[in-house]
Amino acid sequence: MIDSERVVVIEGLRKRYPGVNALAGIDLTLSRGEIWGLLGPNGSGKSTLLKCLVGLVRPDAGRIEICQEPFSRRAKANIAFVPEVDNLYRWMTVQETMDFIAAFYDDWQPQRAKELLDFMRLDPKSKVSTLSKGMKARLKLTLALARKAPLVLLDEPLSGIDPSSRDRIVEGIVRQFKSEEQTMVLSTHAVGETERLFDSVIFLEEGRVRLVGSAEDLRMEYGKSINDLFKEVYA
Amino acid sequence: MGKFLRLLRKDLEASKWPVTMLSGVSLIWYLFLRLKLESTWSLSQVMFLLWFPLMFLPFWLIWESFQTLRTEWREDTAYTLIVLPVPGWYITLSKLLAMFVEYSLLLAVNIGGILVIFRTQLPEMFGSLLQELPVSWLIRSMFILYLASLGIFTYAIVFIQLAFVVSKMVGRLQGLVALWVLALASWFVNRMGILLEPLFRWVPPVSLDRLFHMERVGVTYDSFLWNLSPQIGIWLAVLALFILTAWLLEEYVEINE
Amino acid sequence: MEINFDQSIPIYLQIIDEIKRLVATGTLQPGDKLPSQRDLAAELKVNANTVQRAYREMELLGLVETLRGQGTFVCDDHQIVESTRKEMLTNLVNDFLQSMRSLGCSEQEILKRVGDGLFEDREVKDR
Repeated sequence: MIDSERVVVIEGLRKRYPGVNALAGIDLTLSRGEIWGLLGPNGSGKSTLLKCLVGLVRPDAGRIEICQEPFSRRAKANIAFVPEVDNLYRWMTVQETMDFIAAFYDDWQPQRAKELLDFMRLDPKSKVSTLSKGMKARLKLTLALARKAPLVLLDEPLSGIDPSSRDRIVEGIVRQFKSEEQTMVLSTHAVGETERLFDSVIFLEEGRVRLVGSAEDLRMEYGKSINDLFKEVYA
Repeated sequence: MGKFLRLLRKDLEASKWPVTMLSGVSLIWYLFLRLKLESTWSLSQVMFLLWFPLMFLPFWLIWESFQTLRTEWREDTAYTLIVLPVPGWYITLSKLLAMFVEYSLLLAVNIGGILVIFRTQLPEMFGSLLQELPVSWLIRSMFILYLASLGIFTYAIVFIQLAFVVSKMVGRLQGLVALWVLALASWFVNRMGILLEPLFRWVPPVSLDRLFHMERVGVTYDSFLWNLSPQIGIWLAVLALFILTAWLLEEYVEINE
Repeated sequence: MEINFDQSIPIYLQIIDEIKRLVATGTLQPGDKLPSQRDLAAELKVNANTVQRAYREMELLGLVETLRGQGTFVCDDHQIVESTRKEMLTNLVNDFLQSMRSLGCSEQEILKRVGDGLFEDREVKDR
């Protein structure tokens, strides 16, 4: 792999919480242009790993490199992170939220933002506090995809979302993801409905990488869907 | 600079409601006193109750400077804030300045409210005072006191921010840790004041007589001298704590459900 | 286009199969334009790289050609339709034969069963 294609390099990443070994030594290299499925049951370390990549959790040991740079404030500018929790300011309107985020990221694409708002059927004037869970999820994804961020991290973007919002979100990802310049990591414990999105998958178990590979290769090799493979691995 | 101003604007907009509410409550209080003054209560009773909102203001300010950080964590917006590619001090300083603006606004509303609502009673209320003290002197002195209060608030807010940030670096007993940090920080600041004092003995003391133009109101004592040398050490320590807070926020704070 | 994916088989192979079927049945005519990769990906809700891979493979097979800036087209060559159809038929027959043999049918029995099946089918239609 050429260096410029290594968007994320993780070496020996460890994180312990009292009583839990959240990350027990992770080594991973993510190549550019792919959508990565970060798979594992609840508590396998998916969320902790994503949070380490964006500086919300500080690892006890190990090294993280983002776009060939050690993790830093500058690296943060290269990442679009969508947490599972509701991280939006409730008193802002949709438009105000967009303007707020746009002010901090130089890779914000106003035209793309407008198209995404339309596509997601979001009314710029509505207050965030009045949006349903699905609509909030659409807005969170819009904020991430309106940027040309080299690394997009989505933590459980579909969990607890109504089917119509789910469809919009999946289609939004497929339409807006620019494989020439972006890399996406999408964590989920519901593999069936998202597996067709993935180029490659990472199976996490108890803070360790259990299996990494191209989704199509794994289907060919095991003659199974990723979902069935997932069930087998964690059986 | 644009990014910093955007954060400041956000903090100001977030406090729109509490500031409006507090202003409303104070004004209603003054109107209520004015009505009472016209019916039953005596001027001295009203004069006593008049200062309640202003006396409450510092307490509210302390609470709000803690609350403005706590809300970010409680409502999960810290996930947005911490991820922003800005230095930690953007976040703490924008909150500090937002508090200044809120404090100044509330002060203006309260003083303005009193002046307008009681405008016909003013001579009766402050007449004797105004006879002895020139208005220009009062305004000047109040402005100096206002600046001094900003200084004291800065001191308090820096402490609160540090205590909050450190408490978010530990998994449990966050309240206890915060209290310990507060105690430790005040000890540190005072200690620094004493330790660094000899270094700043060359700084001339400020004559309060001259600062407040005491001769204009016919009072002159040469003894009203304010020795700055311990103050400078204290303020350097506060600055160090501010930098420490920003650094911890950027490099060490964690967010966990 | 709608595909009921069997997720245990590589997705790109299923996309190729579907397009071959559309060509063999004449739904897609030689010279017809295929949807853009991104549109098809959005429609099928699959990763755009997967569609890209399917298109690339079909180009190698000589089934489609991509014209710079214009899009991807079914090759304007009627032989393609015929050969694709033949290939699909051969595959179907092979699969069928394999299944019949696995159930222990002899060649005689296979022929007889096919004859009977065709006869019954005609009767149903005549009625």
